[in-house]
Parts: sequence; C-alpha cells; structure tokens
Amino acid sequence: MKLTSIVIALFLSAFSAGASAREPEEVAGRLFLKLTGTPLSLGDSRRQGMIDLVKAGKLEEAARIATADPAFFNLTIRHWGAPLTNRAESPAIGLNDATAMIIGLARDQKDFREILTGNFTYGSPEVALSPYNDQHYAQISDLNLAKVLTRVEPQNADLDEAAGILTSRAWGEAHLQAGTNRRAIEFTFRQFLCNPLQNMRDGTIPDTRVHRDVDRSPGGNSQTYLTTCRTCHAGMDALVGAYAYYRFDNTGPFGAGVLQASKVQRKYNQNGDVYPEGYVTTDDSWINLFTENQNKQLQWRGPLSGKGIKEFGRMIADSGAFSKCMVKRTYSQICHRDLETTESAVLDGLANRFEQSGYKLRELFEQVAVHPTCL
Amino acid sequence: MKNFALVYRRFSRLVLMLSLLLLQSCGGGSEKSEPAAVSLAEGASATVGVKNFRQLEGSLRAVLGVSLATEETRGILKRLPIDGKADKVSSSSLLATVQLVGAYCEQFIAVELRQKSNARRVHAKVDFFSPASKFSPAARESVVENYARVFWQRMPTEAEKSELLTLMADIESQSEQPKKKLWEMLIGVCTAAGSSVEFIRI
Repeated sequence: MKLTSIVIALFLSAFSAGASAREPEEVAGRLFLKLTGTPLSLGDSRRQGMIDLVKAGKLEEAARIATADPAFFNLTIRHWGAPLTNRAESPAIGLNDATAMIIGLARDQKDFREILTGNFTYGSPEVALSPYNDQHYAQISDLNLAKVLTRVEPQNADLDEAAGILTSRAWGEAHLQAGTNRRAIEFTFRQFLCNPLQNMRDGTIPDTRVHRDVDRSPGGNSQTYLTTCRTCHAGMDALVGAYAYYRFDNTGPFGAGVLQASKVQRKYNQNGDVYPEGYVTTDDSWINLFTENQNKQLQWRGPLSGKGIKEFGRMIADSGAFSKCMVKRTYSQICHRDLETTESAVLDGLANRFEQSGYKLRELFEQVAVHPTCL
Repeated sequence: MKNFALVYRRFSRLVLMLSLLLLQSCGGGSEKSEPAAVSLAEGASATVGVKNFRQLEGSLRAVLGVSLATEETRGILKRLPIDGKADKVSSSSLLATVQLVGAYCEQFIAVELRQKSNARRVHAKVDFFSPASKFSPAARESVVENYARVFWQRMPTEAEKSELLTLMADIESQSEQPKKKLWEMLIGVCTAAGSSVEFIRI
C-alpha cells in the first residue's frame, strides 16, 4: 500500500506544473503522441516538418501530419469508438463491425452522422464477411485497419433499412437481444447524446404511448408510477417504435445477427395483461416527447416524429447534443480530462467547428488536440 | 519471454524503484538554452495522462520495431490502464507495464543480437559473446544513451545516466548466472527506460 501511495504521489506531482513557453520540438512531439498514442521518433522523416509548422504557428497543419499516421486510426480512433459498441462501454473488447464502421468513416473523412443513418459497413475484402458472426473481425483485428478496411454497401442484404451502428451486429447483440428494445433507445441517448436516460426524466410528458407491460400501480401504489416510472417510460416508449421490426437472433440458420421482420416483433406487445389499456405497437412509428424543460438543451433540429430506425437515427445525429457529445468524448480521450461545466464556450466552439467541417471526425480530433486547454 | 521472466522475478523491485526515481527527473534532458520561437498562452495548462493498453503496446512496437504474439501479451494487457487518466495508475498497472516492456525488450535484444554491430540501433558497441566483465564503461554509456533516444527521443540527463548505469552495475553484482549476466543487465536497463514515466506518459 505504501509503495502504491508513493507511486501515485510521485506520478501526480510530476505533472502538477502548468505550461510555460515550450520548445516547438516538444509541442510537435506532444501533438503526435496525443493523436497517435505513439512517440515521434528522432529519425522520423515527418519530425522536422511538424516542428517547422509549429514554429510557424500552424498547429492544425502539424496535427494533420499526425492524423495521417495509421496509428491514429488503429489505436486512437479504435479506442475512442469501441465503448460505443458494447453494453459495458468498455474500450477493451475485440474488433467488431460497429468499431470498424467508426474507423472507416474517420479514415474516409465522411460525414460522421452516417454512423446513425448510413446503409454501409466496413471490412476487409480478403476475408469472408457475414452479418451473422464476428469471425471476419476476429481475423483482421491485428492488421493495419487503416489500410485494409473497405466500405461495403449495403450493410446487410437481409435488411430493408439500415441505420449505421444502430443496425450493426455489435449494437444488436448488445441492445436488441430479448427484452423490449428499450435498452437500444436508452443507450442511443447515453452514447450519442452523452445524456443518460435519468437526466431526461420529465413528468409533464403525456403517457399515451406507454406500453401495456408497464404496471400503472407497482406494489399497489399508483404514485410510484406517476412520479417515477412514467417520467422515463412516457418518452422512451414513444420512441421505441423505431425498432419495432428489429430483433437480434442467435438461433437462426445463418448465425447470430440483426433480423428485420415485416411486422411488429412479438416482444413489443408481450405481457399485455399487466395493463391492457396501455399502448399497443402496430407499426414502426415514433414520436420524440423529450423536447421540453431540461430536454430543450439537447437542441433538437428537424422532424421530431417519423417511421423507422433511419429517421430516428437522423433525428439524433442532427441534434446539437450529438455534436457536443462527440466533442466531449474526443476531449476526454485526447486531453485526459473532462470539460468543466464552466468551459461551455470551449464545448460550443468545438461543436460548431465540428458541424461546419461537415462532421469530419478526424478534423475534430485535430482541433481538440491543438486547443490551448488541451495541448 | 522465459529469460525475461527470470530477470523480472529477480530484479523487478530494482527496476521498479529505478522507474520511480526516473519519475522525478522526467521532462529534463534538453540542453538547449535558446528561447523558444513559439510560446503558448500563459494560462494554458498541460493535460497529461498515461498510455492506455493499446497505446503502450503500439508504442513499444513502434519504437522497438518488434511485436509479440497476442497470446503472450493478453494476460498482461488486462492489467494495464484501460483509459489514460493519470489517477488510475496503480502499483498493479505499473508492475504489468514493467512486465510488458520487459517482454518486448527481450524480443528486441534477441533481434539485435542476430544483427551485425553496425546495423544495431542500441547495442552497436556490445559484444554479446563476451562476459559482462568485458562490457566497458564506454559501451555501457552508449547503451544507456541509445535507449534514451529510442524511448524518450532525447539524451538522458546526467542523473538519469547515472541511475541507469548504477542499475546495470547492481544487476551485474547480484546476478547468479555468469553466462547470463550481460543479457540480464541489458534487459534491466531496457526495461527501466521503457517503464519510466517519460515513456508511459502521454
């Protein structure tokens, strides 16, 4: 224990000093290290170029050299994206289709909103790819993903409608297995708006869309429903229709993957005897009722109702909260701390630039890495 | 990996203590005295963390130019920091770091041993087939300086050089296997340099 205390104290004390004027060489080295996770070696041919750009005050151009390195995609983007693809939100998982999508979109400088709307996936053309198992990704996991990943369209020939990560195998395995698909909505908020469901609770939302499986008098107490259950279910159940035709099936003949039916999945109207007067799902329509009170800060833009998962993904991706969430996640990883609530100007500025860049994830990383509060 | 395991069991405490000593001297080494051409805002604060498990292994591969099979490292990687927050550093993660670095160092030294001396990046002045007693002071300094360039991208300070040379001497005096003494000294100094804060921080 004593050794641990000494270790941590020495470690933290070594980093307590604030920055003063720094050598361009040091700045260039730190920039490369932050973005790629690997050192810029003394013999590296890019070293002098980065130093010269730093001397000239062109920090973003110097950062661009770093983000062209394969390690930026293979280490940094992969580590950033992996928590978005599993229920434990851990970066320490094997490569899967969803992480591959994130790496591919970043490398190809696509509009990152496609991660919630696009009909595509990424894989290697050298290895057989199936939407019903992860063998492909296990085989390519240790390769240079920045080089081997190729965009594949459509995402899954058996799906009529795909929506990026929301219909990926990894997402389905995490959130569409058994249950009622509500977890998929909860984690969409949590991971792509950085807003846990409990922060969105709103007792003023009408409960006309709450399903029949929600007890209106749990434990014989209707107040519990009104003050607790309803505050989440009223909004969440109104949205979960977006997934009405989808489930994750690990018993099918092709393996385990996301399946889409032409009618509402049975799970949506199960346990109908709990409260028979509750809402019955008849199609994939959805309504966003999380729009008032504290939820105004999510900055919804565009339609707040629709049909199907792609339109739902579009609503999430177009929100101001999505841009800010991507900034927060990037800042936390690159700068090793979270933005303070007093730094809203920093958050807004970076989010605006992210949108103006066309939602380019690579440019977001560059802008964060050179920000004075980070470098 | 087997040789490193032996060295690790015998000298891990020495290596870890040296890593801690090198903590105190991090950030030094530059002999430049001319003013910086670029200065950051006075109010800017540097944010630092530690390399996460992916970055640590990626960095070792990048600087040493060798790689280990996933099966060899999987158990160690699980004990490394998952994210890069400095307050998540623990003695367990530091020991895992020493273990991982040591395994990579063993692989690297084995590769250098097979190369001609003028092709080696660190051990150009080392005669791998002579006993440790023939390992000259000049050759030892050369190894220390080269490891600093490889891991830290700079020359070591006099204090750092002294500490690493002392480590080599300590391993030499404590080693019980005359034929493996030199090997153990080299693994020890490589591991200490690679486990230092200067390398694991980000």
